[in-house]
Amino acid sequence: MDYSSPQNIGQIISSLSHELRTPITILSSNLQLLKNKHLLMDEEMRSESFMLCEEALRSVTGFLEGIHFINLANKNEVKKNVSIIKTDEFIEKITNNKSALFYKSDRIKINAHSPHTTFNSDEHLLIMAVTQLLDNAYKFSAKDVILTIFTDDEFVNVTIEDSGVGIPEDKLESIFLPFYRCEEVKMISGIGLGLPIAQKAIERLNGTTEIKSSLSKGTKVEIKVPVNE
Amino acid sequence: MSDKKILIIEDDLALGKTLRNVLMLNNYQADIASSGAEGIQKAYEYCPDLILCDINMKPIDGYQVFNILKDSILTSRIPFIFITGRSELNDIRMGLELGVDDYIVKPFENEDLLKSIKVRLDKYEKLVNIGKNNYKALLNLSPYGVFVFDGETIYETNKAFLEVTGLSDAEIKDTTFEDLLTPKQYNKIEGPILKCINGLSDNFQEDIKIKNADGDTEKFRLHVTPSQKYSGFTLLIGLLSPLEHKTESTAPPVEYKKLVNILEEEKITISGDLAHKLHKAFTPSQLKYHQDQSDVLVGKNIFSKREQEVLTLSCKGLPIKMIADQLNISDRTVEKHRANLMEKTGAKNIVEVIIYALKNDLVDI
Repeated sequence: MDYSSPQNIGQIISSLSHELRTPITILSSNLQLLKNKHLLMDEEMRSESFMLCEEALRSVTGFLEGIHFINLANKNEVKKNVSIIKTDEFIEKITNNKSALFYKSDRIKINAHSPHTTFNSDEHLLIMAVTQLLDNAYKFSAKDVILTIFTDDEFVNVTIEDSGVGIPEDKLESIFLPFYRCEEVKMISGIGLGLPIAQKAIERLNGTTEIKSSLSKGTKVEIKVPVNE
Repeated sequence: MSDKKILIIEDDLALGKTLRNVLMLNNYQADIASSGAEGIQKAYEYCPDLILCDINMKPIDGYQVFNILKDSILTSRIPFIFITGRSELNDIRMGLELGVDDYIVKPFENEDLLKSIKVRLDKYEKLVNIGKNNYKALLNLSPYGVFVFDGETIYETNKAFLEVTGLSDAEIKDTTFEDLLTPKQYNKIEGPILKCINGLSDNFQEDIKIKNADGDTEKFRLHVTPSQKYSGFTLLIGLLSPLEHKTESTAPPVEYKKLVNILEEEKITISGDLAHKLHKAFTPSQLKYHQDQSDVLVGKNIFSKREQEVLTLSCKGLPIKMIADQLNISDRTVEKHRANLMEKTGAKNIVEVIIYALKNDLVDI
């Protein structure tokens, strides 16, 4: 995508504005209710209203954090904090992420088998990458998504495999560009930040991202991150 | 407590819930549909008094929902308010040209939203009342007995009908249509009435004997056509005309024209023979005079050719996309035909339409 073209810039701004308007509307409407109608609201409705506010705030901050992260990565300023990670805790943190789309879904099948129960890496970056990739697979497929984690002496290997819509071959290059969205899936909501965030995070970990896809059969993403850095 | 029902068509669940709470706390009933397709279905199912609809939805957006609902008799007059994140003038102009009632731009003040809703509801109520008054006036102008019934219970009648049967307004409430006939007479028309109720026939006529005010029986020709569908049952309109024409009928053509106009405005189609009958009644000696208007009244078959095709393919279990491909029409058009099928059969979704079609042998598979 050519960011210097006024048309593309316009499209990006319009999708940003749309993305922010909805959560701001939710916040504003609920705050008005809580201020003016709180006496009429029962306990259940009041707590729902607070929850909707929190959710809206979370989506705005999540969105801003995403942009911020990509900006940092472009300037090579992302920090890396390597620590010892327990594989089972790592998986639990991914599946218990409340802001993930796939949270509590039974379509995510996990497959972990490793000679080691721990490995070394930056937990935050790796969790961010895997969560974005899982969200993506979950969103573009209606069937099970298989998450496989295998660690050996040198690498942690993560594959995410879906049986979804697939990605056209000529688009495989473009999908890691921020705000890029394939024409074919314009009806599925999103603004095109998930894959770029995942790729930048893996890059920072000196890992590789490989993507194989076949239209209407599914997509398989393999990431390979060195553990002895 | 207001009993006004508002349908929210919004694909963002959190915003949908927020809108519902705003409406409920201001004494409206509210229901959420989370996609354009669900919105179209729910509009038929719940007959809301007003629709709030997001524009930016996929795959069916707000404009398409509006267009589909505008094309149907049952939903075309429901006030429609768009909620949009786009504030471009062109978008708003386009919506207003389509005939949308109002636009609310996100984010909004709750008070502004509620004010807009109230204005639209009040205006709509006024329009409905005008329609009702026209209909009542027309009913009582008719020299022939007209009655609205569901096959048994009689819900509404005109003066002429009461004169024919000699019953009072109060008595008619305890009388079923069957009571007015001898069992033998009733047997004769039971089948055709059932067919009308099931939508298998558009109208029928039959010579019957009605017990009149003096306790004698008098011969009439009965014309029946389905009028409206309510959740699950159909209302029929019946008309009784005397078998011997009184040639000196004095109803002037102008009354007939008025009738056509009102029926057209109300989007009521009267079909086939009943239309011709009405036509004849009003212009006894000038049969050719108003030929063109009478065409307006003549209804069409139950399903159009396209609807029949869409129905048949739907029964074979094909998804919308494949139906569209096979018939060489757009997805949207298929959606529209399906909406018509749902409306005509009173079904809540396409599965019910298919069940209905199979039960009544409407398709060949």
